[in-house]
Amino acid sequence: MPGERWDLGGRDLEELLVEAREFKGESLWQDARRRLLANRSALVSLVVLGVIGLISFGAPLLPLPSPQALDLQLEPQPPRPPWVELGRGGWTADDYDELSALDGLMLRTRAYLFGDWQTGRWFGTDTMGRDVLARIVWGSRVSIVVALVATLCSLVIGVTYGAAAGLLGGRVDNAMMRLVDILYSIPFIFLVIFVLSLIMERRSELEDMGIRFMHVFYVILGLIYWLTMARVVRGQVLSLKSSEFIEAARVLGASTRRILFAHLVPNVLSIVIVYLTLTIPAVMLFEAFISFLGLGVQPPDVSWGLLAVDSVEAINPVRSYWWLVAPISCAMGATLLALNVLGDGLRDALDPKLREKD
Amino acid sequence: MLGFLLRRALWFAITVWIVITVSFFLMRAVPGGPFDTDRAIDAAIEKNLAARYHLDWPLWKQYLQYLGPFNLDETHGATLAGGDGSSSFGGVLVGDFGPSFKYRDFSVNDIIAQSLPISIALGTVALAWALLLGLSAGILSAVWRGSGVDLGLRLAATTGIALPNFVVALFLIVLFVFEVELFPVAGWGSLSHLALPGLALGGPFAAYIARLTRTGMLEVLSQEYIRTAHAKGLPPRLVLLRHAIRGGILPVVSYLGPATAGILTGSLVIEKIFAIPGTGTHFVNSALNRDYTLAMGVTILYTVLVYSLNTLVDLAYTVLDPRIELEEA
Amino acid sequence: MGRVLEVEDLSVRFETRGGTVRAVDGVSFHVEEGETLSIVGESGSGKTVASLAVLGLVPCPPGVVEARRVALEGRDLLTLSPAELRAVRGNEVSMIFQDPMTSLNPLLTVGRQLSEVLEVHRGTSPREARVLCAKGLSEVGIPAPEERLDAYPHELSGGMRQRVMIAMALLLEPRVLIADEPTTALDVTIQAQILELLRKLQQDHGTAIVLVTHDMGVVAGQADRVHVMYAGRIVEDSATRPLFSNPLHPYSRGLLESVPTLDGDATAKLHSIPGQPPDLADLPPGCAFAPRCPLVREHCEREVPPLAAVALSQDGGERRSACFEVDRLRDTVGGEA
Repeated sequence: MPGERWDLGGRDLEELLVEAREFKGESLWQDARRRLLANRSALVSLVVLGVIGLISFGAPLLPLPSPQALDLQLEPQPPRPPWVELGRGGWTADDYDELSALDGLMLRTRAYLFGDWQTGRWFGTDTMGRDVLARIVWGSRVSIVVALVATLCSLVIGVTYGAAAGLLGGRVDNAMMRLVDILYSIPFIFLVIFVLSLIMERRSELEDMGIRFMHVFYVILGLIYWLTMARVVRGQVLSLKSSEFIEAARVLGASTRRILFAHLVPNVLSIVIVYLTLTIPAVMLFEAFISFLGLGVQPPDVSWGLLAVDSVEAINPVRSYWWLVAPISCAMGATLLALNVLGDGLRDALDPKLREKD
Repeated sequence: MLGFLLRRALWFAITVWIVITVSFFLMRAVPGGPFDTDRAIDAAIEKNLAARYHLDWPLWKQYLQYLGPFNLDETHGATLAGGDGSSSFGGVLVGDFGPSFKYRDFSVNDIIAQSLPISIALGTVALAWALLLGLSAGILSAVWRGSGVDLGLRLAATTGIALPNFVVALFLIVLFVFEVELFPVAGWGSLSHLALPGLALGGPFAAYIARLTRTGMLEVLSQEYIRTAHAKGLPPRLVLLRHAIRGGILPVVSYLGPATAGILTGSLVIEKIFAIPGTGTHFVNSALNRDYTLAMGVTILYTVLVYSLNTLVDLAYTVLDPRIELEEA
Repeated sequence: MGRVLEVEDLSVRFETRGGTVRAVDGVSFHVEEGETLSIVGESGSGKTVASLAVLGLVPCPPGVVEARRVALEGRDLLTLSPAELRAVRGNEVSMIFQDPMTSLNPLLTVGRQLSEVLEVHRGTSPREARVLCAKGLSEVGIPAPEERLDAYPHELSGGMRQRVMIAMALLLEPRVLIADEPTTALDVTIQAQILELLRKLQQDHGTAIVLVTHDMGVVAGQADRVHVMYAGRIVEDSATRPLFSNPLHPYSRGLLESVPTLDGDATAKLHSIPGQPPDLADLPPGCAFAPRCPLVREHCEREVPPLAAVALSQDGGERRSACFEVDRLRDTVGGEA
């Protein structure tokens, strides 16, 4: 009968089974990594961010002038590129306040390595004679920490809230999401500014109680950004809960815990990571925004937001000190751009459904 | 439709009440009055001030007083809406935000009445820039997908989203005020005073709208009904105008709500940079000066504004997309 | 009866990053007035792309369309300017698509979408267009057509929407109707109604229909002639009846054997063609069906079999097949019959 030959295409069962065994599906993460590595702009962003992160973390090791060393006699000095003046002496370790143990160690290492040598005014100096390059590098530390900590806060709150709503479902879910809706329609930033200004007033009292203003600042930033995270996580949990593969796992007798950790968590994780990378630049922008209004990071600490304020003040019709504007704008722009591009790349890699069409 | 509006109104009331209550008690929870930072005032004057602003009342009474047109003031007698600053003011429920703590001769309503039109004008210009630039860039990008124009516009959009609006503002100032001398630096008075701040304020939103439009347009252009329209023999221009754009900009319409809120927020910074005497400037000052009533007034006002605009956007959405039922919203 | 539409040596390829995809490779067909030609094949065989290419609806780039001739009543469509080609679309040649859910614009009323055909091709005034559209809708069996004009697509059932599509396609009484899987997305009972409607309209207007489908059942009921397509090429060309009684290509036979029948043994396994359709970006050098073919010989993997006439003793009529082993096939099938 010719029909019999159609069944396996003339091959025996053994052969097909071997083939089936060799055909392995790519896991979500392998697949995502492959797609991310194929995305050149995302890779470049990753490298850029890595370099920025390293420089920022290792700032005390670099032979930069102190970001706080004042030189009040001077007008802002224009940049002198390295080929004009590579460096000079005169650096001391005294112009730093409140360094952590690790930073202190790095600073001593630097003193050991470079002595009192420091770089010249490659990027010029500001209205108080402070070195612009040093301030940008040191400022990045505060901005990055703010962004990371606040994002982490939003992550913890948002994922817990969203997962709880999604898992509990029904009326509880309804009520919880109603609350999110209400919070969404409040122009939060106004409340935040309001609250920050109140806290600012009581800064010294808080510090007596052992609470640093910066810490409160982190948490408050985190409080704004959890809403979207909660919505996204809840949506993902809900759709996963009713999806067929969870159903299949349940039918096969998987325990609730196994379903939760083997199936739900990895799938929610991908979308969380994507929103994380997109939240970080938003928080950085917001830090700059709040610091700009004078309610965020306080001198002598320096952050990119504060540097942006300086740059606004440096612009006037009489004389514009462009070196106070351009470097910080570029640093900020490059970092935020890289974060956004990486976030988009991760989103494309991890969640092809969300992919922007190209 | 009516049901939808009623439900919206109910949630609106709840939202506004929460904002009022939370901000009121937050404000009072922090020890110290609004006059602490003033130069040493002697105790008698301070007591008078406190009495004038009812700070000597128990908290619940202050709250009720602030909330609504309640007759609580025994000494002055009842007036429903606050007339002269010394008597009880009407309360938020009748749209009276009370006297300003800092500008003692003005009520919060006066200040808002003066500054809000300026901020709204600025916001409108910004939104107009955002829509004009964003929509046209997004549509061009989608129609010429993959071309140099598309690449350039997408790069510009990604950069635009990444840059803080004050950085955009700085570049614009350097470019158009100092280098080309097209616009006045700062201040307020004519439309030309608004063009530049509007652009700086609307820029990042233009970038985001461009991205949304591009994605939406590409989505629609790949739909089968676009192929149907071509198969019917419609000229490409008509396919684009009648069949593609309407669906393609739907995501932008739902983004208008958040965009408006963002523009109101962004105007805090932009008004400061360009020295525009808008509501944002007053709000920042009030927050810094502990002018509680003014800060709360602006917060509540902006909540109302954002909420109403969101409702309008939802209504507009249902007009544009017949598949959406209002009752679901 | 003359040939209304004549396509010669049509090729469509897509230049993608993964290489050149040959979706349609040297396909020729024609259809006569009042006749239904069916192009049948699996998904991915190029049948839809070929039908789109006739009206210049393949997106270029990435598509590249080449043909010796695409003639509508002797007029070569390839030489027309874009505007002239637009005047043909929806007017002399119209198309209906597979999924009536997605091929109507959800944001515009049915009336608007119908009347714009009249507006663009005839310049009909809105009021007159409305009357004509209502008439068109009633002709395809839609009750209360006046009211339906103001409905949005999502307010209609799938069958109703496909009727709207047909009404839209036939509004200007085209010479040729290209129907791309017109019933695939519909319930079986609705399918029968739509097919019946197409037959009736064809009789009334003498429209030539090119019916693109993968459903042998639909082919059996509708088509006068059949072209079987595989991997972008026509592998068999036959009148409908002889094809069913005696397929002359192993692929056609595979297709027919995978149709379940009522009179067969219910416990018997349903036949399916083993393997996957080939990657169109990387076609084998010989016959594209060779890797899945039960009759394959060494020679099939080296050379592409041409579509050649096959002399037939019993059924008569001209038939063509692109298979080197067609004689063996005839023997086995003949033995069975």
